[in-house]
Amino acid sequence: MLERLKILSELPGISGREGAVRKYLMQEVKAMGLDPSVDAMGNVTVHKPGKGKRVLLCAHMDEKGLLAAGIREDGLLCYRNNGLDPRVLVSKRVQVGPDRLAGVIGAKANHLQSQAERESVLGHDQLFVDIGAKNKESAAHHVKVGDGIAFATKFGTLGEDTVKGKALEGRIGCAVLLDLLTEAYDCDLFIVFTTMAHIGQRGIQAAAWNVKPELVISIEGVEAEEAAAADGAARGVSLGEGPVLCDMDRNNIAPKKLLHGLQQAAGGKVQHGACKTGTDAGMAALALTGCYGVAAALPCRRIYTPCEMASISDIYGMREMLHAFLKERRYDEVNV
Amino acid sequence: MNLVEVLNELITAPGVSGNEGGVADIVEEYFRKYTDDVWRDNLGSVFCRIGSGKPTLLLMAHMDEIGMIVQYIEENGTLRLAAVGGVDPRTLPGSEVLVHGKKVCPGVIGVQPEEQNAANASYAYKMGDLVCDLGMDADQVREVVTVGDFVTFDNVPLLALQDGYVSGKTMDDRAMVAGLFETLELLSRVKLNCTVIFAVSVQEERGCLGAGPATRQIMPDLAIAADVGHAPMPGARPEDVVDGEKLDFETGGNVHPGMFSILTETAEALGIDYEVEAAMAHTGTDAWTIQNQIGGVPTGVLCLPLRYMHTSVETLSLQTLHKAARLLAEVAIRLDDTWEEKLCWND
Repeated sequence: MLERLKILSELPGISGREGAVRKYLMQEVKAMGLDPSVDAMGNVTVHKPGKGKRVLLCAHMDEKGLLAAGIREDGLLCYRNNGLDPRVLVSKRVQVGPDRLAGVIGAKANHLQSQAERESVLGHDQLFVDIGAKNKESAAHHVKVGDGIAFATKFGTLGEDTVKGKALEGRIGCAVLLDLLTEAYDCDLFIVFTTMAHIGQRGIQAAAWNVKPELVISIEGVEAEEAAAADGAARGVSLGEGPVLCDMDRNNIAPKKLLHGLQQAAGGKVQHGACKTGTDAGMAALALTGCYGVAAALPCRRIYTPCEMASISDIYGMREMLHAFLKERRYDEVNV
Repeated sequence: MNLVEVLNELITAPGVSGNEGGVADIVEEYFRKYTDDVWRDNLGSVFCRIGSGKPTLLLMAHMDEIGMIVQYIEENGTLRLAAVGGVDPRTLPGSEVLVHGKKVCPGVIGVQPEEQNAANASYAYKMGDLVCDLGMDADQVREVVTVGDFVTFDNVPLLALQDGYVSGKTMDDRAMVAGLFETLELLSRVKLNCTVIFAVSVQEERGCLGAGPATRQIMPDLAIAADVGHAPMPGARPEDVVDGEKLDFETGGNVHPGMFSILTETAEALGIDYEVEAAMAHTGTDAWTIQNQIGGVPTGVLCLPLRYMHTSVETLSLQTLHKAARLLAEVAIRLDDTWEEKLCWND
């Protein structure tokens, strides 16, 4: 699972430009002898028919990133972004467009900065992507307006139980779901890899319409704040303490029975938390005539930065919880 | 010379000012490919000599890099860091680093979430706001990390960009260290009418400290400091930067006019484009220290234009680096017993 996570983490796939991730997932799913389909929103859906409840498990393919918006006379690229803190962009490597062209985001040398400049944030309008092109003409050979730009962080491990990399908050879910596809369950199972979660959970809305699930679980990332307190007291959810059951997100309050079922499936090793953002499951729960939905989240430190961190034991904990939930038919306990 | 290969070896070796041992070994190894006359001084600078007789030309580039040092270990195992040299803390959030403790530990720089929440989005982080997170529990951290351990940017290899540009950490000044290797290679094929001493100095980023003892030991007749300058980048004024395709010669009090002429005339003879940068006093290079040693050394400054200096994505043109190496070789080739006339003051 971690080998797949490495590949998934390093692939570029900003919202609406998930092609490279989609291609990899299709290839892996087909290699399992399954038949994935792609809908009009770019979601990848894998159906494993069964006699039980229609269950939809999903994770999002997209990551927060940049979209090339123009080429300047000096060959630098300006960009649009979907909610990244500009303070984490400076001095980073990026990959541009479908050909994954190398680029960097620099900043004026500090030798040339005034005191006032040193004390102010470099905003998105002051930052540019540099692909080394001498001028606009040269850059235009390589880059088009509308190309996606993702971080180029390498995946790796830190210490004994920590992985680091970009886009972990979404791609861990993709890796877990790929792994669950190798198992057999009784329910009528739909595994969906969604698009455009970071621009308002767009993909899942179409997927929910197509699948018409009775129960939805989405795998997400949630900000871990364990390093918060200087006195060492934990705040919020922590790495290594198990997957997080989101009691609540921006759109959804999870049903108690569903939370209970997942908690039982995990053998109690879960954390509870609220997700500040929307989630795919929360959005799907409101689709059609409504259904049961909950987001199960991986605690991520430094979420939405070029280098997120997550716990390996949490990743396996997530996998085991979802596996047990389906295997033990705990979805049957969730009824109107 | 395959500069990509050389640069990759140089930039991935650790050498924060005062801890240059890692990169010094590589420098010594390269020098020994061309001559056995290689040595180090007590501070750790590495030297080699080719040619013989008067004059003695000193070519100097520095091998130390800006970085950080562990200042305090928090109860939760995250590290508080202090800057060594001119680190811009605004480049650090989300950056990967290596902590050189009992073993080398990768880490990520971030903000304590509590502080992140407290600070508004228009607050520019300072060194004291940042922590280094090793992803290990506090006891493990204390086993391998000690206050005073040095910290480098992650040692990722060079990134090839378009149009012959490359990007990486510590191109300041490992790029010109690589340039000196190429100059040495070019000069090893010709007979010189002078002595050339290549010096790769320590502690430039701490105030050009290594250059003093080096110059007093070598007693050069003339010297050139080879360092990096600023290429155009967003927010920089045109008068502060030089086109990345050209060489940058500094002029002003820190540069001897005769050495300046030698550099510009040689560039013109070779058909190499250059621009002149005016520095009121300090050129920000080892030349500042070399110039006033041993009764005064006529000193020139050659800079390689570089974008985003002191970040982990320092970017430059490989062609321009080749030009710099060729120029320094040609300066040495042209030196003969007329050197003193060239350094007369034309007042």
